[in-house]
Amino acid sequence: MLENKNRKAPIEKSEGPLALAWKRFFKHKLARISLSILIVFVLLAVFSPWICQFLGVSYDDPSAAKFLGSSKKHIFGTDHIGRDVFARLLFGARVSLSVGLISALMAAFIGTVIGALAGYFGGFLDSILMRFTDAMMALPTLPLMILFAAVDLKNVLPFLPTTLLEGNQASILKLVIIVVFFSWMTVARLVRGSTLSLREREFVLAAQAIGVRQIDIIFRHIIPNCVAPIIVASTLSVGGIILYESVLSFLGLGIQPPMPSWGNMLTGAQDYLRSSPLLAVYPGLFILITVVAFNFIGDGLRDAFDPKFVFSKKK
Amino acid sequence: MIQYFLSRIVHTIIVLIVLSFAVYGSMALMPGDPIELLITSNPRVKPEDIERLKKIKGLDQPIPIRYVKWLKEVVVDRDLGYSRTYKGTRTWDLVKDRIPNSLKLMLAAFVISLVVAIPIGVYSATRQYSLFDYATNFGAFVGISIPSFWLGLMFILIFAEKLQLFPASGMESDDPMRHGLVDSLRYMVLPVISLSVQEIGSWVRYMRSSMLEEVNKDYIRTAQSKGLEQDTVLFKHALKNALIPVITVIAISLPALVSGALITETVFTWDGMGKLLYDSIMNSDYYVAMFSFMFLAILTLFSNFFADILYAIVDPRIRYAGK
Amino acid sequence: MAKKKSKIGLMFFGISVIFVLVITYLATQSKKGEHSERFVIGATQEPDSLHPLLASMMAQEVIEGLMFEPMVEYDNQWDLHPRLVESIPSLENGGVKNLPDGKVVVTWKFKEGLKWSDGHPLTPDDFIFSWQAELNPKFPVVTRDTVSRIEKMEALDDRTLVVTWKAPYAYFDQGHNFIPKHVLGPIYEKEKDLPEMKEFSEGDYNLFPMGNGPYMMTSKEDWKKGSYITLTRNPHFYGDPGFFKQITYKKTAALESDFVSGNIDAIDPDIGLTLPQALDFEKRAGTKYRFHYTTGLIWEHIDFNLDNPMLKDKRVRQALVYGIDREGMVSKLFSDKEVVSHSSLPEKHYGYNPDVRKYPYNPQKASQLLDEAGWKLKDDGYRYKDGEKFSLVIMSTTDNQARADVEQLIQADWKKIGVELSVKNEPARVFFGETTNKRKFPHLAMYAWMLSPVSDNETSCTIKNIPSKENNWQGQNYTGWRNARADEIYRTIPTILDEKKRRELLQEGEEIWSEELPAIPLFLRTQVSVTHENLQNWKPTGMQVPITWNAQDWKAL
Repeated sequence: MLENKNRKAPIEKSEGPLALAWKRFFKHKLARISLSILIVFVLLAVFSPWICQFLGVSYDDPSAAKFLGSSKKHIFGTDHIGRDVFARLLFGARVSLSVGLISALMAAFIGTVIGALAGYFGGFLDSILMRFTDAMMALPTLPLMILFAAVDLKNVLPFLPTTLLEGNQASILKLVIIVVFFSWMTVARLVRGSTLSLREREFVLAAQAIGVRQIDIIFRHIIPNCVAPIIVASTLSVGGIILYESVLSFLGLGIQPPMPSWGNMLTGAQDYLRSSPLLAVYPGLFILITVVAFNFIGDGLRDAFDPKFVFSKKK
Repeated sequence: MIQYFLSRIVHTIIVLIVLSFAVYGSMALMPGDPIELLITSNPRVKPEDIERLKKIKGLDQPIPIRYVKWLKEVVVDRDLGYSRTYKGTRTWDLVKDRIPNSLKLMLAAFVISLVVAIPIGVYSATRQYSLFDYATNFGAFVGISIPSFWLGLMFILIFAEKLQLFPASGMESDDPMRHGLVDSLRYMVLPVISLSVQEIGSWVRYMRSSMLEEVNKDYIRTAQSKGLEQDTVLFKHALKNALIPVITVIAISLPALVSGALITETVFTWDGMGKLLYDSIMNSDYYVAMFSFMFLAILTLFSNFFADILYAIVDPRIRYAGK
Repeated sequence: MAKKKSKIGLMFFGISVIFVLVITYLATQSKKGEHSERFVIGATQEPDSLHPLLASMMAQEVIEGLMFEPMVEYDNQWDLHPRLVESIPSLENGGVKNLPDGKVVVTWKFKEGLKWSDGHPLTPDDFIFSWQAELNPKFPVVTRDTVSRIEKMEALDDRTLVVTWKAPYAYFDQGHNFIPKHVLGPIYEKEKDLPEMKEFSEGDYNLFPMGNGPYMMTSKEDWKKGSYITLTRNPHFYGDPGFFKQITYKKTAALESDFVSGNIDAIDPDIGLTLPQALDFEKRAGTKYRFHYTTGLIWEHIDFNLDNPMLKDKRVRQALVYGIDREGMVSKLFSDKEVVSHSSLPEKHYGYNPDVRKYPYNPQKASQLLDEAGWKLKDDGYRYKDGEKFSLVIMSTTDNQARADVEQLIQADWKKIGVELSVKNEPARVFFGETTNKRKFPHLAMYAWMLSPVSDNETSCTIKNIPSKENNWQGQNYTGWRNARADEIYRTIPTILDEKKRRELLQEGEEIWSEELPAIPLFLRTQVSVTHENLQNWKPTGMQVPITWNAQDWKAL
């Protein structure tokens, strides 16, 4: 024990807290595996057009026979009208991952701003914003999402250009708006908590004393110091967002076919559940693996940023 | 303390009112009223017919007026109105069978989740870093990550279609001769398990980490070093203390159960409030959707309220921190 | 930490054992249901109401087929038969008379001894009562098209109903609605002068109607919401009693497993399995059960927006139809069980014309026609004219998997002839509530019309039925088709009493239609029902007449 500590001391001096966190993160075996799986998924999604071209398949080409089994060309076979399932899963990954990541980023941004404002200014603003946050957290999320997803965007946002409000763009835009609307609260609470303690710290008081603008204090001094909890909470939220995307698409309220998403591929596969169950198994497994991976990474990051936990683990 | 209660109640009521207006408004913003859809199913329907029908149903009025009218009918006249999907049926007659159905499903899932999650959480905490602990941790993560509708589909595929052990959907046999407890339970197995999985996953993790914290506290080690029986220590002291934060977490996670029930009920055609809500939104069945929504919202908000109060009682500091 | 198995471990073990035991026990309890005198029809929908005048769903028609015996009825060969009446009035048998002022008088003679299921006699007054109620603007009937064409209805005696039509109306022989005046009359009298007719339109008759058919509800409890409706033989039915003592209509989402496990005895053709589900089921079940495939009256087609300059050219429209492999589509999506359609009417319709111009899959011909129309192929594989790319948008509903599949197949087919197609689907509520009925689709709109044995294209092909702001969006000529001869034909048909004359006109109209192609005819949906081998006289009609139309003849051997 003693030996260990002595050996570690010089390293701690030379490395910053982020590098340390990164090191601790890599100690979390499941997080490490998850990260590699996700990197593979992201690469597959990004390079899907070239991969499909290489295999000679396409996500919207129904020229093959239907319900083909697995083969060299069609790795996961074909669906009920002869489209390549692998290609559809890859394009579905594009949709699901980008909706998940974009929504998580937007939710993190909104949550951070609300949390920082509430924590920094306190008083009436704080109580209003936090009451609102609490109320949002207490709502039955899924029923409300279903309701909002059924609303026509044209009736709510008439000022946006019509190209955004129709067809596929509309379904993605609507999905992102709805998901973000219900996902920012955790970050807001965490950021508010950190801000409450940060605003009493010397460097913030000093900045105030020399007359730095308050908005600058929030963005230059407060928020950068809340990065750790924001990253952890956002990573954990991606899994939930992907689940929401898939369930809404499954119910026919999210991504619309023929554009593939993991959720709407399941809707299509439902009719053939008995004779071609694999069509329903693949998209579900992809969702499951992705969500599990994000959750493990979030867990790993939390361990990495929370030295207390690591301490108790080393013992 | 009383002041805290009161402010929480007022807060909850305000949220309910705002929510009810938001929901009512959203229903109205849904495009193409079902009445307008009649025109496509019947070439004889004319625009005049649509106008006449809308007038009879009061749909020609602006949204705020309709909302106020609805609110007055519910609060003042105690009239929940007629269902639009099921003509001739009062909303109350429709939901009065559904509420117990939903509660039955949720309660069963709740009890099973508790009974499964707490022992597993405790057990794996007392054996930290064992194979069991790793398996539990991994399983819990899978549990919270699994898409519940897909799990339902897989259950139907495996246990109802392939193995033919349990019925795939519904609530009881059609044949009245077979009705009874066993019959009902058979229909409950798949939906209840698929609804429980997510709760079990998250509660196991809370229980485990809460228990870990207690187990590592000094007083437990002291007790152990004094030679007290292992189980007495764990049960009498650690478990009791570890349960307190878990209980509030469980109360807070009740909304997830309500949301989950919507999916489970839809996948397994279970006639509960969740499915009714989904169907009524899809059919613009205003009165029913509003009632179901408010029912679920009240259930969720009050479970939160309950959790807060519980927390305030357990940990009095929260009252000041919350201000 | 722990050295021996602790109490927690034991408790945990015990709980899991109990769980496993309970679940195993429950799993062993799966038995096949048995019932002999009961017959259960399974379907995916539940009726919204059982009120015969307020019907808007197919589910309700199925129940009504059991509870109500109509004046006249189509059989599965689409022949009209008298039921409550002795014969169908016509010019030849003297039942129909043209008055000099252009009005038409129709006399209906009822059979003897007709009764409601409570034993009360059924008389012409019940028909007159229904007509009056439907004309009341406070009563939410869906359409008053037919009732408003009637000038008056009178009862000559207990068995004779005389109907005076304001003008000649071709479909005078389709019968009239009726509701029990002795039950509903008092409520109507009470409410007819009030601002709202709450009880009359929303009251108990929606849940527990009295009928005159072979089966009846015995109490309000016979309808268990969300699950099933049980009907019992009607002792006052005028015809032979049915073979089954009770017929139950069950709503279930798991039709196949319920059928296999014996919970239901038959799957409804209209609101049961989708064709892909049924094909999938049959593939696995083999010859164990009987699968009834019936070509229906739901006509899938794609409307052109004829106001679009690209689509104004007839050659372009013809090329687009030549360019779709509809046979291949039907074979891939529906295993050849659906029928490719070539015109606007189905084969069983009296006005069907087998000799219309047809457009079999022919990409060469399509390319040739497009070339002629000036759309030339460029290096990128698409066609251009005056710098404009030939790019079309197809719109349809989001809730229909088969339509999304069709779009995908057409996209692939048209790519081969250099036409780009993009898909823009909307929820049915927007699509039908905003897009089609206000003609907001830029090029193509795919949906289905529900046809009937007397469909005549009047509302979908005449010029005055092109919806526009000026006519308050009236009519269903969503394509905006303006053809003088077709307009004349389809306008006059509903006023011609002679069926032969109507047939000639309809056939001529069909020829014009398939030459001009205001829409792409795709196919007629096929309905599937499933029964056991021993069931006799199960006769799906393929139209709105529900499967229960001859329920009194059903027999199990």
